[in-house]
Amino acid sequence: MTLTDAEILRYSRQIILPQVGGAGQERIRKGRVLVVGAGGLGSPALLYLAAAGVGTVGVCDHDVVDSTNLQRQVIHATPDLGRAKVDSAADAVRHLNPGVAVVRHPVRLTASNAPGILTGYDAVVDGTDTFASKFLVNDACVAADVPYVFSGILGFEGQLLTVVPGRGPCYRCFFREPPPPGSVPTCAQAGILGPVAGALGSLQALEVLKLLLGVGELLVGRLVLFDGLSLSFREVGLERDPRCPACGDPEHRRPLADEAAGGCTR
Amino acid sequence: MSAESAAILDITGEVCPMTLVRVRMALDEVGPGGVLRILMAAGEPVASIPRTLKDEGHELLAVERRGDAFSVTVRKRP
Ligand SMILES: [Zn+2]
Repeated sequence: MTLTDAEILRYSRQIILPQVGGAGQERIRKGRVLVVGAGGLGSPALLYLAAAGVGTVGVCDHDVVDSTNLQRQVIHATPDLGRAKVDSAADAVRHLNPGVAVVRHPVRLTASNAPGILTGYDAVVDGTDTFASKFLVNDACVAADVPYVFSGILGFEGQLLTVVPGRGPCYRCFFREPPPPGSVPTCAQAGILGPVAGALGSLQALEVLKLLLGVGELLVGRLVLFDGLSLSFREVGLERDPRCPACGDPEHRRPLADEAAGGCTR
Repeated sequence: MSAESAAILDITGEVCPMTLVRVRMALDEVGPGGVLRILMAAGEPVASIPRTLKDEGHELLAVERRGDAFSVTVRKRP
Protein backbone atom coordinates (compact mmCIF):
# COMPACT_ATOMS: atom_id res chain seq x y z
CA MET A 1 0.00 0.00 0.00
CA THR A 2 1.41 3.38 -0.97
CA LEU A 3 1.56 6.29 1.43
CA THR A 4 -1.47 8.56 1.66
CA ASP A 5 -1.13 12.32 1.09
CA ALA A 6 -1.69 12.85 4.82
CA GLU A 7 1.18 10.46 5.61
CA ILE A 8 3.48 12.10 3.06
CA LEU A 9 2.81 15.46 4.69
CA ARG A 10 3.06 14.19 8.28
CA TYR A 11 6.40 12.45 7.69
CA SER A 12 7.72 14.97 5.13
CA ARG A 13 10.65 16.06 7.31
CA GLN A 14 12.03 12.53 7.30
CA ILE A 15 10.89 11.50 3.80
CA ILE A 16 12.97 14.43 2.55
CA LEU A 17 16.10 12.68 3.80
CA PRO A 18 17.74 10.76 0.96
CA GLN A 19 18.21 7.81 3.34
CA VAL A 20 14.44 7.62 3.91
CA GLY A 21 12.33 8.73 0.95
CA GLY A 22 8.92 7.26 0.26
CA ALA A 23 10.26 3.70 0.13
CA GLY A 24 11.94 4.12 3.53
CA GLN A 25 8.78 5.53 5.06
CA GLU A 26 6.90 2.49 3.80
CA ARG A 27 9.54 0.26 5.44
CA ILE A 28 9.08 2.17 8.71
CA ARG A 29 5.31 1.77 8.44
CA LYS A 30 5.70 -1.97 7.85
CA GLY A 31 7.98 -2.21 10.90
CA ARG A 32 6.94 -4.07 14.05
CA VAL A 33 8.95 -3.08 17.12
CA LEU A 34 8.67 -4.37 20.68
CA VAL A 35 9.73 -2.17 23.58
CA VAL A 36 10.38 -4.17 26.73
CA GLY A 37 9.90 -1.87 29.71
CA ALA A 38 7.86 1.35 29.48
CA GLY A 39 10.22 3.19 31.83
CA GLY A 40 13.01 5.73 31.53
CA LEU A 41 14.47 4.24 28.33
CA GLY A 42 11.23 2.86 26.91
CA SER A 43 9.39 6.20 27.20
CA PRO A 44 11.43 8.20 24.69
CA ALA A 45 11.97 5.12 22.52
CA LEU A 46 8.22 4.50 22.26
CA LEU A 47 7.44 8.16 21.60
CA TYR A 48 10.02 8.57 18.84
CA LEU A 49 9.15 5.26 17.19
CA ALA A 50 5.47 6.19 17.22
CA ALA A 51 6.18 9.71 15.98
CA ALA A 52 8.27 8.28 13.11
CA GLY A 53 5.31 6.18 12.00
CA VAL A 54 6.42 2.66 12.94
CA GLY A 55 3.36 0.63 12.00
CA THR A 56 3.14 -1.65 15.01
CA VAL A 57 4.60 -0.91 18.42
CA GLY A 58 4.48 -3.50 21.20
CA VAL A 59 4.84 -2.58 24.87
CA CYS A 60 5.76 -5.18 27.45
CA ASP A 61 5.58 -4.16 31.12
CA HIS A 62 3.93 -5.66 34.19
CA ASP A 63 4.22 -2.57 36.39
CA VAL A 64 1.91 0.32 37.30
CA VAL A 65 2.75 4.03 37.14
CA ASP A 66 4.18 5.31 40.40
CA SER A 67 4.89 8.94 41.31
CA THR A 68 8.64 8.23 41.52
CA ASN A 69 8.55 7.22 37.82
CA LEU A 70 7.41 10.60 36.53
CA GLN A 71 10.77 12.36 36.94
CA ARG A 72 12.11 10.41 33.95
CA GLN A 73 9.41 8.19 32.41
CA VAL A 74 8.01 10.91 30.18
CA ILE A 75 5.44 8.77 28.37
CA HIS A 76 3.39 8.70 31.61
CA ALA A 77 1.75 11.72 33.23
CA THR A 78 0.30 12.60 36.63
CA PRO A 79 -3.27 11.47 35.78
CA ASP A 80 -1.82 8.02 34.95
CA LEU A 81 -0.74 7.30 38.55
CA GLY A 82 -1.83 3.79 39.49
CA ARG A 83 -2.60 2.75 35.91
CA ALA A 84 -0.89 -0.17 34.21
CA LYS A 85 2.14 1.18 32.33
CA VAL A 86 1.12 -0.65 29.16
CA ASP A 87 -2.26 1.16 29.22
CA SER A 88 -0.75 4.55 29.95
CA ALA A 89 1.92 4.08 27.27
CA ALA A 90 -0.60 2.78 24.72
CA ASP A 91 -2.83 5.83 25.26
CA ALA A 92 0.13 8.20 24.88
CA VAL A 93 1.22 6.51 21.66
CA ARG A 94 -2.30 6.62 20.18
CA HIS A 95 -2.66 10.25 21.24
CA LEU A 96 0.62 11.11 19.52
CA ASN A 97 -0.04 9.05 16.39
CA PRO A 98 -3.36 7.28 15.75
CA GLY A 99 -1.77 5.63 12.72
CA VAL A 100 0.29 3.34 14.97
CA ALA A 101 -1.14 0.01 16.10
CA VAL A 102 -0.23 -0.67 19.74
CA VAL A 103 0.05 -4.19 21.12
CA ARG A 104 0.02 -4.44 24.91
CA HIS A 105 1.83 -7.22 26.74
CA PRO A 106 0.95 -6.57 30.41
CA VAL A 107 3.31 -9.22 31.78
CA ARG A 108 6.84 -9.60 33.03
CA LEU A 109 9.01 -11.08 30.30
CA THR A 110 10.15 -14.57 31.30
CA ALA A 111 12.05 -17.39 29.66
CA SER A 112 8.78 -19.23 29.11
CA ASN A 113 6.70 -16.38 27.63
CA ALA A 114 9.48 -14.55 25.74
CA PRO A 115 9.52 -16.72 22.58
CA GLY A 116 5.78 -16.20 22.11
CA ILE A 117 5.89 -12.47 22.82
CA LEU A 118 8.82 -11.90 20.44
CA THR A 119 7.09 -13.67 17.56
CA GLY A 120 6.43 -11.37 14.64
CA TYR A 121 8.58 -8.43 15.77
CA ASP A 122 11.33 -7.06 13.52
CA ALA A 123 13.29 -5.41 16.33
CA VAL A 124 13.30 -5.02 20.10
CA VAL A 125 14.28 -2.16 22.41
CA ASP A 126 15.65 -3.26 25.76
CA GLY A 127 14.21 -0.78 28.23
CA THR A 128 14.40 -3.09 31.22
CA ASP A 129 15.87 -2.15 34.55
CA THR A 130 17.46 -5.28 36.01
CA PHE A 131 20.44 -7.37 34.98
CA ALA A 132 18.24 -10.47 35.03
CA SER A 133 15.85 -8.92 32.52
CA LYS A 134 18.68 -7.62 30.35
CA PHE A 135 20.21 -11.08 30.03
CA LEU A 136 16.78 -12.53 29.31
CA VAL A 137 16.04 -9.97 26.56
CA ASN A 138 19.45 -10.69 25.06
CA ASP A 139 19.12 -14.45 25.17
CA ALA A 140 15.53 -14.45 23.92
CA CYS A 141 16.32 -12.10 21.00
CA VAL A 142 19.41 -14.11 20.02
CA ALA A 143 17.40 -17.37 20.20
CA ALA A 144 14.57 -15.86 18.13
CA ASP A 145 17.02 -14.24 15.67
CA VAL A 146 15.51 -10.78 16.30
CA PRO A 147 17.86 -7.75 16.39
CA TYR A 148 17.66 -5.60 19.49
CA VAL A 149 19.15 -2.47 20.99
CA PHE A 150 20.53 -2.74 24.50
CA SER A 151 20.90 0.14 26.90
CA GLY A 152 21.67 0.37 30.58
CA ILE A 153 21.76 3.58 32.60
CA LEU A 154 22.89 4.51 36.07
CA GLY A 155 23.41 7.95 37.55
CA PHE A 156 24.84 10.16 34.85
CA GLU A 157 26.10 7.25 32.74
CA GLY A 158 24.73 4.97 30.10
CA GLN A 159 25.72 2.16 27.75
CA LEU A 160 24.42 1.31 24.31
CA LEU A 161 24.90 -1.70 22.01
CA THR A 162 23.00 -3.03 19.03
CA VAL A 163 22.83 -6.80 18.74
CA VAL A 164 22.11 -8.32 15.34
CA PRO A 165 22.19 -12.11 15.79
CA GLY A 166 24.67 -13.70 13.40
CA ARG A 167 26.30 -10.37 12.60
CA GLY A 168 28.27 -9.54 15.74
CA PRO A 169 28.57 -10.07 19.46
CA CYS A 170 25.68 -10.14 21.90
CA TYR A 171 25.45 -8.62 25.36
CA ARG A 172 26.38 -11.96 26.95
CA CYS A 173 29.58 -12.20 24.91
CA PHE A 174 30.77 -9.22 26.93
CA PHE A 175 29.01 -9.47 30.28
CA ARG A 176 28.95 -13.22 30.79
CA GLU A 177 26.77 -13.42 33.93
CA PRO A 178 24.75 -10.95 35.99
CA PRO A 179 26.80 -9.59 38.91
CA PRO A 180 26.02 -11.24 42.24
CA PRO A 181 23.09 -9.58 44.05
CA GLY A 182 24.33 -6.86 46.39
CA SER A 183 27.52 -6.17 44.43
CA VAL A 184 25.96 -3.42 42.34
CA PRO A 185 24.01 -0.42 43.50
CA THR A 186 20.25 -0.48 43.07
CA CYS A 187 18.48 2.45 41.46
CA ALA A 188 17.31 3.55 44.88
CA GLN A 189 20.94 3.90 45.97
CA ALA A 190 22.33 5.24 42.74
CA GLY A 191 19.67 7.45 41.26
CA ILE A 192 19.22 8.54 37.69
CA LEU A 193 18.77 11.88 36.01
CA GLY A 194 15.86 11.88 33.54
CA PRO A 195 17.66 13.32 30.50
CA VAL A 196 20.29 10.56 30.73
CA ALA A 197 17.48 8.04 30.20
CA GLY A 198 16.05 10.33 27.53
CA ALA A 199 19.33 10.50 25.62
CA LEU A 200 19.95 6.76 25.63
CA GLY A 201 16.32 5.82 24.91
CA SER A 202 16.31 8.23 21.96
CA LEU A 203 19.49 6.63 20.62
CA GLN A 204 17.81 3.23 20.89
CA ALA A 205 14.95 4.53 18.72
CA LEU A 206 17.50 5.89 16.24
CA GLU A 207 19.19 2.50 15.96
CA VAL A 208 15.82 0.79 15.42
CA LEU A 209 14.90 3.22 12.64
CA LYS A 210 18.30 2.60 10.98
CA LEU A 211 17.65 -1.13 11.27
CA LEU A 212 14.22 -0.82 9.64
CA LEU A 213 15.59 1.44 6.90
CA GLY A 214 18.77 -0.58 6.36
CA VAL A 215 20.91 2.57 6.38
CA GLY A 216 24.05 3.72 8.17
CA GLU A 217 26.34 1.77 10.43
CA LEU A 218 24.62 0.04 13.29
CA LEU A 219 26.21 -0.04 16.73
CA VAL A 220 27.17 -3.69 16.22
CA GLY A 221 30.38 -4.84 17.89
CA ARG A 222 30.87 -1.43 19.51
CA LEU A 223 29.70 -0.70 23.04
CA VAL A 224 29.14 3.02 23.52
CA LEU A 225 29.75 4.43 26.98
CA PHE A 226 28.00 7.73 27.66
CA ASP A 227 29.06 10.04 30.47
CA GLY A 228 26.56 12.82 31.03
CA LEU A 229 28.73 14.70 33.52
CA SER A 230 31.56 15.27 31.06
CA LEU A 231 29.12 14.93 28.12
CA SER A 232 31.33 12.44 26.34
CA PHE A 233 30.89 9.24 24.39
CA ARG A 234 33.50 6.49 24.41
CA GLU A 235 33.51 3.34 22.35
CA VAL A 236 34.77 -0.14 23.22
CA GLY A 237 35.15 -2.67 20.42
CA LEU A 238 33.67 -6.12 21.03
CA GLU A 239 33.92 -9.41 19.21
CA ARG A 240 31.57 -12.35 19.21
CA ASP A 241 32.73 -15.03 21.64
CA PRO A 242 32.43 -18.49 20.04
CA ARG A 243 31.98 -19.88 23.59
CA CYS A 244 29.13 -17.47 24.43
CA PRO A 245 26.23 -19.38 26.03
CA ALA A 246 23.72 -17.30 24.03
CA CYS A 247 25.22 -16.75 20.56
CA GLY A 248 28.28 -19.02 20.58
CA ASP A 249 28.92 -22.18 18.63
CA PRO A 250 26.17 -24.82 19.09
CA GLU A 251 28.08 -26.94 21.65
CA HIS A 252 28.40 -23.94 23.99
CA ARG A 253 24.82 -22.69 23.81
CA ARG A 254 22.51 -23.03 26.78
CA PRO A 255 18.71 -23.21 26.59
CA LEU A 256 16.79 -20.03 27.40
CA ALA A 257 16.43 -19.62 31.19
CA ASP A 258 15.59 -16.94 33.74
CA GLU A 259 18.49 -15.43 35.68
CA ALA A 260 18.27 -14.92 39.41
CA ALA A 261 17.28 -11.31 40.14
CA GLY A 262 20.40 -9.18 40.49
CA GLY A 263 21.01 -5.49 41.02
CA CYS A 264 19.36 -2.63 39.23
CA THR A 265 20.90 -1.06 36.14
CA ARG A 266 18.51 1.83 35.73
CA MET B 1 16.39 8.05 -23.16
CA SER B 2 14.11 10.73 -24.57
CA ALA B 3 12.14 13.07 -22.38
CA GLU B 4 8.96 11.62 -23.90
CA SER B 5 9.42 8.29 -22.13
CA ALA B 6 10.21 9.92 -18.77
CA ALA B 7 7.89 9.86 -15.81
CA ILE B 8 6.46 13.32 -15.16
CA LEU B 9 6.01 15.04 -11.82
CA ASP B 10 4.32 18.41 -11.38
CA ILE B 11 5.34 20.21 -8.19
CA THR B 12 4.41 23.72 -9.31
CA GLY B 13 1.69 23.76 -6.62
CA GLU B 14 3.97 22.69 -3.75
CA VAL B 15 6.17 24.69 -1.40
CA CYS B 16 9.35 23.71 0.43
CA PRO B 17 9.85 21.13 1.89
CA MET B 18 7.01 19.27 0.12
CA THR B 19 8.62 20.07 -3.26
CA LEU B 20 11.62 17.90 -2.45
CA VAL B 21 9.46 15.31 -0.68
CA ARG B 22 7.43 14.83 -3.89
CA VAL B 23 10.66 14.53 -5.87
CA ARG B 24 11.95 11.89 -3.46
CA MET B 25 8.75 9.90 -3.74
CA ALA B 26 8.80 10.09 -7.54
CA LEU B 27 12.47 9.09 -7.72
CA ASP B 28 11.66 6.04 -5.59
CA GLU B 29 9.19 5.04 -8.29
CA VAL B 30 11.42 5.40 -11.36
CA GLY B 31 14.22 3.07 -10.19
CA PRO B 32 17.99 3.35 -10.76
CA GLY B 33 18.94 4.91 -14.12
CA GLY B 34 15.35 5.95 -14.78
CA VAL B 35 14.44 9.39 -16.08
CA LEU B 36 12.09 11.80 -14.35
CA ARG B 37 10.82 15.11 -15.71
CA ILE B 38 9.83 17.58 -13.00
CA LEU B 39 7.76 20.69 -13.59
CA MET B 40 8.61 23.25 -10.93
CA ALA B 41 8.03 26.92 -10.24
CA ALA B 42 10.62 29.59 -10.87
CA GLY B 43 12.45 31.03 -7.86
CA GLU B 44 13.30 28.86 -4.87
CA PRO B 45 12.34 25.44 -6.35
CA VAL B 46 14.39 25.76 -9.52
CA ALA B 47 17.23 27.43 -7.62
CA SER B 48 17.46 24.62 -5.08
CA ILE B 49 16.12 21.30 -6.35
CA PRO B 50 18.36 20.75 -9.40
CA ARG B 51 21.37 21.56 -7.21
CA THR B 52 20.26 19.07 -4.55
CA LEU B 53 19.73 16.36 -7.15
CA LYS B 54 23.17 16.99 -8.63
CA ASP B 55 24.81 16.97 -5.18
CA GLU B 56 23.24 13.57 -4.53
CA GLY B 57 24.77 12.10 -7.68
CA HIS B 58 21.81 12.21 -10.06
CA GLU B 59 22.41 13.42 -13.61
CA LEU B 60 20.72 16.61 -14.79
CA LEU B 61 19.74 16.07 -18.42
CA ALA B 62 17.92 19.33 -19.09
CA VAL B 63 16.58 22.46 -17.43
CA GLU B 64 14.12 24.25 -19.72
CA ARG B 65 11.83 27.23 -19.20
CA ARG B 66 8.12 26.46 -19.74
CA GLY B 67 6.32 29.79 -19.44
CA ASP B 68 6.41 30.77 -15.76
CA ALA B 69 7.72 27.36 -14.73
CA PHE B 70 10.68 25.12 -15.44
CA SER B 71 10.99 21.58 -16.68
CA VAL B 72 13.90 19.75 -15.07
CA THR B 73 14.84 16.36 -16.51
CA VAL B 74 16.97 14.14 -14.33
CA ARG B 75 18.40 10.65 -14.64
CA LYS B 76 18.37 8.78 -11.33
CA ARG B 77 21.70 7.60 -9.94
CA PRO B 78 22.32 3.99 -11.04
ZN1 LIG C 1 27.05 -13.76 22.63
